Amino acid sequence: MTMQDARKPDAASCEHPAEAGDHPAAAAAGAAPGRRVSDVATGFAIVAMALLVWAGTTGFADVPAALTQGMGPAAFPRLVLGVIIVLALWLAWTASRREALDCEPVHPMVYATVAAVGGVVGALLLLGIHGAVFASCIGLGRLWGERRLALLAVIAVGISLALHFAFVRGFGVGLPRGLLQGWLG
Amino acid sequence: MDGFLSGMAILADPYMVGIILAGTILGVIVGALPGLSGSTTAALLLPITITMSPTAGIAFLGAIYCAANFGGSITAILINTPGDPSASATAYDGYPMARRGEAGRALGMSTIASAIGGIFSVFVLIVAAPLLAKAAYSFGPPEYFALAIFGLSMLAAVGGSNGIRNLISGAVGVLLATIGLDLMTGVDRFTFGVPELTEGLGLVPVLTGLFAISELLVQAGRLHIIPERLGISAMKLPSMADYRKCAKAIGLSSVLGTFIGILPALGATTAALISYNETKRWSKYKDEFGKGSIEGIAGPEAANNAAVGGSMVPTLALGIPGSATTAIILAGLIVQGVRPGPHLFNEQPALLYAVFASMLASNLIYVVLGLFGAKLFARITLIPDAILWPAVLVFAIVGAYGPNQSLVDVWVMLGFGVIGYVMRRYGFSPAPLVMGLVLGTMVEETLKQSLLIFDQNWLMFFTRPIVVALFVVTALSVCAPWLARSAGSLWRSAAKQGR
Repeated sequence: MTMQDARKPDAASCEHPAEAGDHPAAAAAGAAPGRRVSDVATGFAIVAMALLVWAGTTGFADVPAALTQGMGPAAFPRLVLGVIIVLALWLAWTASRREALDCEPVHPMVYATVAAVGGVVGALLLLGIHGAVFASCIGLGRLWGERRLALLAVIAVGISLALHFAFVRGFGVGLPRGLLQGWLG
Repeated sequence: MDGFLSGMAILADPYMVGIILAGTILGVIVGALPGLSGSTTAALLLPITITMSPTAGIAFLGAIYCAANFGGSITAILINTPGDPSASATAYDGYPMARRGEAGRALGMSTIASAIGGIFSVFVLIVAAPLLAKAAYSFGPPEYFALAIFGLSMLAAVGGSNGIRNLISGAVGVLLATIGLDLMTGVDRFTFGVPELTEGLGLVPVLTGLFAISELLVQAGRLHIIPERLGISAMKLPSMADYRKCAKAIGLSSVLGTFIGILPALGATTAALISYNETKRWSKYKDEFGKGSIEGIAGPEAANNAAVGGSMVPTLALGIPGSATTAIILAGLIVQGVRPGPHLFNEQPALLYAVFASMLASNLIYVVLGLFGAKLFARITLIPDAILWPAVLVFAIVGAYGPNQSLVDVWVMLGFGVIGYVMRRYGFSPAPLVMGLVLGTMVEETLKQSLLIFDQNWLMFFTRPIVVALFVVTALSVCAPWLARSAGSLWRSAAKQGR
């Protein structure tokens, strides 16, 4: 790794083209041509989202004026949304002062990890916390390249026991039991 | 004085010493792990503190906060990857020193400089926090509203061109704080019929998602990068000549770090980066910087640890978080039923002084751990990602589920994990969002209360001198980058004409 790697705060983020060339992640990824994202696009995307949320505030229940004592339930969120819109437009307006961000494609492993995390939560719902521990340690561990299945299983057992004794017995925190455990009693 | 003595008395309680020791060791270990910063650790361990007494819980989080900043320097020096963002400046000179075979000397200086900076800032905290609280004792809702807006506006001052992004993040955090029941009218806002959201978004799942899960996804994208790990062949500590050489850097950076820490939103990372530049500016050996200067380690390390105590000043005295980690500590206090602010100094002085004592003890404990156990802690970096991160995922799930025993909170955590990842990808830091989320309720409540006091007349804000002063400072902090740029271009054009 080079010095630039430590100086770079966040390897996940898109970066300005001048910085991208120095970064070993770019080299390791084969320096695939990235998508340029200007702050104009970012600013207008934020404005669009803010307008969508603004529309959501029109669905708040109506309240008599006497009860609101000045500010209704939608007034403050709309005030904040107004600030967000002004700031986003400012970001877009001043975009020419900054270079567009060079965004490398998201690494396929990120999508695979999101799917795996979804799987772990699925195991949590179905099998409870111990099922989730095994799904995480073995499933995610294998996905991330660990091939020693026995080691992963031992770690899963260790974490399961630690959670049981520390949280359930020690702190008295109830952990999810899962639908299957509920059905099986 | 009684409060101070009873606070210090916790250091005679074996249970409390055990809690502080555990917090310090955990802080150093987790701080040393790349990706797991002090804020992530505090967010992950926040649910555990709910089962502790308020004093023990906050002492535990305070110890983690102090130790994690130091722990981050271990990996910055040995593998050129800061364990904590605040250690990024340490890598500039720490890693070249380690490559020269001087890892022990670099780690030794990092330990001592961190401890001096940390202890100095705790003493400033002990003196300044009660004074600030006393000044703020007569504050009403309009002053608190102006103070919260000032805290949020400071986000603009961080990160140069990222200032506008930080302000947007902070505003989104304030918006997220409106989710749930409107206390004035009892109307549901943005709950989408989910009963669990009526009381608002849980802080723990949001924090765990934004910090731990988003970092998990970041790490997933970097699995192909294999860091070069350097060993410590011999633990050769810094000499007296080294300490003499670095004394000025440590002193300057301790003061600078504490001051930067006291300013809301400016945390340890900003303190370290500014101190690195200042240390270089005032050094007699400027040429050594970037190539393995021991002063380049001493400066930022003293500053980032000094910022810890500094950032606790507004957190405890005013209830305005000084950094992302103090926002989590603030959340911990709120979860424990303790509302930080000036009244706390009268109502629960023992709790506050216990926090000061724990931070002081933590700084002393990690000197011992750093000087004698750095070699051991360095081995932590050998844990493969494929083993570490699945375990982090499990603890994140347990942490999100634990406080309310709600699976909705687990989904909220995952949602914010993805949101955090997308934010980071497009240059938006999650930390300002946390500041906004924590301050959001205060902003809305104090605004509504102020308008009730002023009979809905907004101009009445300008009849209160403290409010006006805070609004002026707020306007200056928002406009500072723009003013600096304009002054710079004026200066350049004047210089051109002069030629």
